[in-house]
Amino acid sequence: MMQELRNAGYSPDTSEVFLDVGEEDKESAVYRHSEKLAIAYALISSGKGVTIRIVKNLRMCVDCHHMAKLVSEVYGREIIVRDKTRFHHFSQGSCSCNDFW
Amino acid sequence: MLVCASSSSCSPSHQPWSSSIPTLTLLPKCTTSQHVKQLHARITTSGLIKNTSFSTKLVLTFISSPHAPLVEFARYVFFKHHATQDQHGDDPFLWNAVIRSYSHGGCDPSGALVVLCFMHENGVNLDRYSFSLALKACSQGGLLKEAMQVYGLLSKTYLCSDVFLQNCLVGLFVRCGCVEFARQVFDRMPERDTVSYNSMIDGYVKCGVVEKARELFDGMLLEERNLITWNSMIGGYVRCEDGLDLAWSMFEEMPERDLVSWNTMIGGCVKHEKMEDAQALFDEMPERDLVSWVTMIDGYAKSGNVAASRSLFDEMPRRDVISCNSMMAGYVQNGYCIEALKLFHDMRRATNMLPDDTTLLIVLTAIAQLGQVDFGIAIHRYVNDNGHSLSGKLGVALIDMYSKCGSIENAISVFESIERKCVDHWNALISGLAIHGMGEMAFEFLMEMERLSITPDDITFIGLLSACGHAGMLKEGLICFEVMQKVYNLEPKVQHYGCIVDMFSRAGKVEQAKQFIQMMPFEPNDVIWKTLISACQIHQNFSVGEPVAKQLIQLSSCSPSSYVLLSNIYASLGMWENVKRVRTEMKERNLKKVPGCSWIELEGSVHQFSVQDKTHPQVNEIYSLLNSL
Repeated sequence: MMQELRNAGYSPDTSEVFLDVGEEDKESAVYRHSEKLAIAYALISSGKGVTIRIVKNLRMCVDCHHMAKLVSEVYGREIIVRDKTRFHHFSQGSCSCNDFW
Repeated sequence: MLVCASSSSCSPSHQPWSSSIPTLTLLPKCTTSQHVKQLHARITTSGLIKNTSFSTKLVLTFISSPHAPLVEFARYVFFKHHATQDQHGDDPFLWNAVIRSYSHGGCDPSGALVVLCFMHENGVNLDRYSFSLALKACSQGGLLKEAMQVYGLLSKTYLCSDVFLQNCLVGLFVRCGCVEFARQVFDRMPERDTVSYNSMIDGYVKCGVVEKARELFDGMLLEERNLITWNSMIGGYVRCEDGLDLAWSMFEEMPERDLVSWNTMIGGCVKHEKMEDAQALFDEMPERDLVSWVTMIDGYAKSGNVAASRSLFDEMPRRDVISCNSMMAGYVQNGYCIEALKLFHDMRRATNMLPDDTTLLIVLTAIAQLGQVDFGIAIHRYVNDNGHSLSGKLGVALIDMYSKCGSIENAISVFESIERKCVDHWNALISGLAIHGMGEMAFEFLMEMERLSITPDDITFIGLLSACGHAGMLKEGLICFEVMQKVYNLEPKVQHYGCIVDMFSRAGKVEQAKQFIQMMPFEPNDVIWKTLISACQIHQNFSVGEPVAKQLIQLSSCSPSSYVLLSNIYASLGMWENVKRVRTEMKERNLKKVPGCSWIELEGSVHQFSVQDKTHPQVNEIYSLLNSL
């Protein structure tokens, strides 16, 4: 999945990783955020066209937001994420929040 | 049907007046308006309606019936054929029965007063019952002015010092909230009894003036005080912030106690968060009722001890809807939404319990917190199938649930389907639009509210301001803030200020946010400070951010998020030593950052993922998908 996303232009955004570690470790830290795990699970277990609904207890980070937009474009799925303060509807590569959240 | 059974043909021998079935025996069988119409036709054509003793019997039988058409018919017969007759002009008995139908029916108390006026105009003697029924009607309807008029009328009659009526007056003024009037009536009473004192004490207690209640109580002789007197005093004390000890002393002193005394005392301990005392009382009480159990369950839930709550609930000898509701509410308050829903399923399966409006409200709240829209849709169908009305809180909860589950279209369609909307429905929808970032639509709805002359309240503006925040509409948000104060005369609360600070922060105007905070007429809370600090961190304004963060830690040193914010500020500037220091301090105080966690619902089951989670059954496939490089 990561390969396909990278082909579509994804590169991990580590601006919000506040750990004193090297860039590669920051990238892998970002890979393991819970939204990504949930989206990956949804892609495995549900068929094409099924809307993915996720509830997150904290604010979505920039990297997960970017990744969700790309997943919605590459895999053609609608993703709805409710984070702590608002909803994000991802569809065909863009988000209802217009990247302002 | 009833009457027509006897007249199947039109021949003269089958007319109503020659029927073999006496009309009187038909009276108890009437229940619907169809029956009433047939009866009316019969007694008119047979001339029975002119028979005074028959019509008296009819009025008396029907006037206290639970069926509305019969009551109306009785009133009609009374007014047409009795009220203006002279021969019964002096007997108030039938008049009282008619007044009673208005005052005890509950839906039209002012009708009772109309009848009283009519009675008085026709020169009929008003007796004790007439007055007491009229006063009862006033008290039910909160008709203060009319009550004063009745009082005036009463004072001119021989009944002016009747103790029973004076007690009714005191009770009535208390219920209308005019304790001073009640006290005047009380002071003027030539003789008083226990009921008088009790009504007055109850009035003072309900207004929160417990000292005056105590004065009266101390003025009573011991034998004049009854259980109600003692219970009212205890109830009054437990409602005061520091009255629990006095309540205890009364409880120990009272010569005998009943269930209400024990329940009031338990309720008081629960309110003052003394759960052990409440439990001791609960174990000691000679018998318990539903109120005792529910108070305890609710008390444990409010103090956060859900396990104790559940074990009490399981111990209950007999459960009903109220106890289930209180257990569910306890679960939801403490975040155990899934357990609340499980309990709801158990309730549905139990044969003796029908979920009521409160149950559905709690279930909808739980679903809104979880975000499980499929279950929400099922509940919506249940609400429709069982005829629950959406004009009240249920409609608000439904709109809120759909909004929080991500289905704003459903929220809007529910909103539009409600005929009689109140301001709460509008507020729920506007808040829903806010969290979906639909700021312009939120404003459109505000315009619609104004057009329909529905006055927005402060909650409406919280929704609007947060909508502006999410949509990045700073200018509109500031205008909204002005409009709220200048046009609607609403005093902004801390939440409104928080929204404005948030708007400035998202727009990067950190200095303006800080100035705005300094202008606030009261102390900002920790949410506002955190918003400012986050903005400082995102827009790299260290000079404002660091001192504020340090101040925040002083204020709310138990909150992990304050430490995280400070540590993030240092990290964004590369000051790793400081980061380490802050994180060590967190560890010393045993504060853990709330880990990120996501829930996803697929095919009816919910899967939870935490950051770096490896506990899911399909964990290998998930990570391999993420990893494939």
